[in-house]
Amino acid sequence: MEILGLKEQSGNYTKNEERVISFKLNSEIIGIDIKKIVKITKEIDITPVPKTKEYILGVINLRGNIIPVVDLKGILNLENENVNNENFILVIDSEVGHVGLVVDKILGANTIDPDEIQPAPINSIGIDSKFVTGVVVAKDIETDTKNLLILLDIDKLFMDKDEEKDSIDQR
Amino acid sequence: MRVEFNEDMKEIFEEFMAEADEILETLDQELVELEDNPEDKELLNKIFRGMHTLKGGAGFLGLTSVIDLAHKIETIFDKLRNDEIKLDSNKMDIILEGIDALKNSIYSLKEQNEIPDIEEISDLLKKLDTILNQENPEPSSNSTQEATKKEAKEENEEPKDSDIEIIFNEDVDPKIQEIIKKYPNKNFKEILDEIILLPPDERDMDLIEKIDKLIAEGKDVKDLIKEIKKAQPKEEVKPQQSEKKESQKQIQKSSKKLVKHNKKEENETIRVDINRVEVLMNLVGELVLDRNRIIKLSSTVSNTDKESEKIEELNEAIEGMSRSVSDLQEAVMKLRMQPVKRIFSKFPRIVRDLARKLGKNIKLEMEGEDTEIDRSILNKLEDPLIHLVRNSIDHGIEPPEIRKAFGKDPEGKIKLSALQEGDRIIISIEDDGKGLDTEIIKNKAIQKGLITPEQAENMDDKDIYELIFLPGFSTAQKVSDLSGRGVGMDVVASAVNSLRGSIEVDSQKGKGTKITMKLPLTVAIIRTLMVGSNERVFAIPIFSVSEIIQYDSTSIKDVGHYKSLMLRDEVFLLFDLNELFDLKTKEEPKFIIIVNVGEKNIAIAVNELYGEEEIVIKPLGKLLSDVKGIAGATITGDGRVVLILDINSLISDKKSKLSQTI
Repeated sequence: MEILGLKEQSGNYTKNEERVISFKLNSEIIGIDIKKIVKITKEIDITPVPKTKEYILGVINLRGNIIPVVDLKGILNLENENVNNENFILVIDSEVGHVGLVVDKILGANTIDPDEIQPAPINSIGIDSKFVTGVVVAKDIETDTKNLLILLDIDKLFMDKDEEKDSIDQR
Repeated sequence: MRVEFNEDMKEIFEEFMAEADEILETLDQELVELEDNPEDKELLNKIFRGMHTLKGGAGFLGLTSVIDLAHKIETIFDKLRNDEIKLDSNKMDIILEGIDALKNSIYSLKEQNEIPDIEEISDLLKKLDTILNQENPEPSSNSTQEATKKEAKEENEEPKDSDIEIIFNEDVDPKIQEIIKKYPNKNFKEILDEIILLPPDERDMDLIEKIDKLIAEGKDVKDLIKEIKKAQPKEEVKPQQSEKKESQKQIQKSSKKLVKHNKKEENETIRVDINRVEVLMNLVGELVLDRNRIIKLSSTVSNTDKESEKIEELNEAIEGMSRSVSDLQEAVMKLRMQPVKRIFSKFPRIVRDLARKLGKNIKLEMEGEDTEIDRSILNKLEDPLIHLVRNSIDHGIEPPEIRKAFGKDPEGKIKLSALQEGDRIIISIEDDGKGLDTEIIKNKAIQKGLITPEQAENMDDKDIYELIFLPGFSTAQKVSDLSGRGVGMDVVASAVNSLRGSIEVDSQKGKGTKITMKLPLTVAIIRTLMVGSNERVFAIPIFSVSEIIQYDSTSIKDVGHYKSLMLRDEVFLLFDLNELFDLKTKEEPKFIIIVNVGEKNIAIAVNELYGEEEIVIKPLGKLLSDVKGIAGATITGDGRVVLILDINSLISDKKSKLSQTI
């Protein structure tokens, strides 16, 4: 089964389920609620916008709309360890409108059981825990390995102006 | 009290809110007008009707506190229009307080789905009651009197058809004549409604068809009638003089009513969700861009293949389409236009309240209220305008004693005017107050470290006036709660600049101050000059470009922190576009563009010129809303994103950074 052109990674169907799109940032596997995803695209021509914070890469034209694109690693204070530079843009619907996130590699869609979400282990994953909803163990059927999937809280990451100051601008 | 509505009621609720907005919007102006003419029956009636409508709507939705307030105010105005009580400014204050409470209720209803509890407004209701009780010792008899009056009125409005003889045009169908006689004072649509309401066997389908046809032809009752006459000739009713007068009145009234109906139909309007207009606007914007692209393409094709007849035909078709698209663009643009009256109407109240509070005597004049401007510009203009008017009242107009001492009219004057000049709207605020004192402004600016004493030496009056728009400048000796908290004029200036407008000050000490804002008619589509720098393309709005020249390094001098350009006899500040964006310059620029910033011209050096293009402005999104120097972006025909420069904020940002480093 394919969702947004990606292969489904978990066949188990329970009623109490949530779906996430998982992708790689360096060696971490990150998941974002599928309901927040508007579009996944290969990195297209980004027009840089001067006088902006470093993590803001610029703007793109998405079906006639101007969408700001941010470097997700930059916003999460992660080093860029990706060398091949073939990136994807994940367009999400946030409180500040549509935002494009540059990520390393899209893995696919995962179905997870919210009951299995555990709180993020503090400081062990290099991402500020206030942007993390929790972690969940996801099974990759093909390789039959278990991986830790970090669930990102998009609403905390992109808050509306006034509150935004407390999160993004602080750093 | 929290109010919630289900889906069905929601529509009614929204309708009510729209209506309430409309009523409240004009109310302030009406009330202030009323204070000048407390006997104006038409005004009293209008306010009464507004309150009545509000009460009705609120009643349907069960908004108790709104009902109570509207009801009390309605009763007051009913008594006012029936001359049972007289209006004075104390009563007016209470009424205004009531109206404010009503407005706040509607506002909180809109924003938070909440209306005040009855207990919260009970004091106010009592206050309103005092007006009702004051000059009204016998409320019971009065109310009956009122009722009979009302009834009498209603009877008056319904003239008996037997009194009237209608003379029709010659070619009018007898059946139609009959039906018009049967339903006098009604237009065809209403008559049609009446017929459709009849039981099926009495319904004359033939007649319905005939009327339908007439409506389709654009005809109405009035077009078929030659004249409306009183049934009995004058001479015969001499003994019944009074009755005759009465019926004459009725006829006048009825014909008036006819006229009114017609008027209503001519101005028929529908309410449209602004988002739908927005969508339409965007689509038209895209269409304009596509048209421009097609025109470009066809001209290149024509150049390579001149022989073909098909090309000629294509060009003709394109020309036709081009014209339609232009018309369409204009028509859609007009949809978004609203008269400045919408915000001007708030000022009589603001001026009245403030003047009273400060013990000043101020007359407000307004001009060009029907001038239309894009709705979104109008919305963003409201706060700056209020601020400017407050400034005039607070700091401009002197107290009456001082005015007298200077030999001026003790009553101060503020004039608010709007007019259209080409594709710009000019809005100005003029007062006959004490004017701006250049010395005080200079000293203040030096004291605040905005300029150096040496700089102050070389400034002319215009330069000095511009200082008041700098952030952190306020000339008020003491901070009043009305205006001047140290913020203000800079906020006004940046609001106007963000609309791609400009603001100018003109003042004469002791005579008054005039602040003029020039604003674009519309926001969505603008003509721009495409320029390039470091292989990036930017768009500069054409209206701010005054000249383009070749770059010539011999005419450029380094003057301290700035570079300057000598052109003819003038000296301009010169910046490289890259420098403004804190980017490194890779190669020597080829062109210099002279742009208008406020009242000054500034030179900007760029690498490339790509020519003129019409573009649709799109916002950068909330995440980038506070980026300095960029007004938005646009998508060009080939799908690229091009940033639109906001020269004003770009320069002021650079200047403030430079002054920090000094």
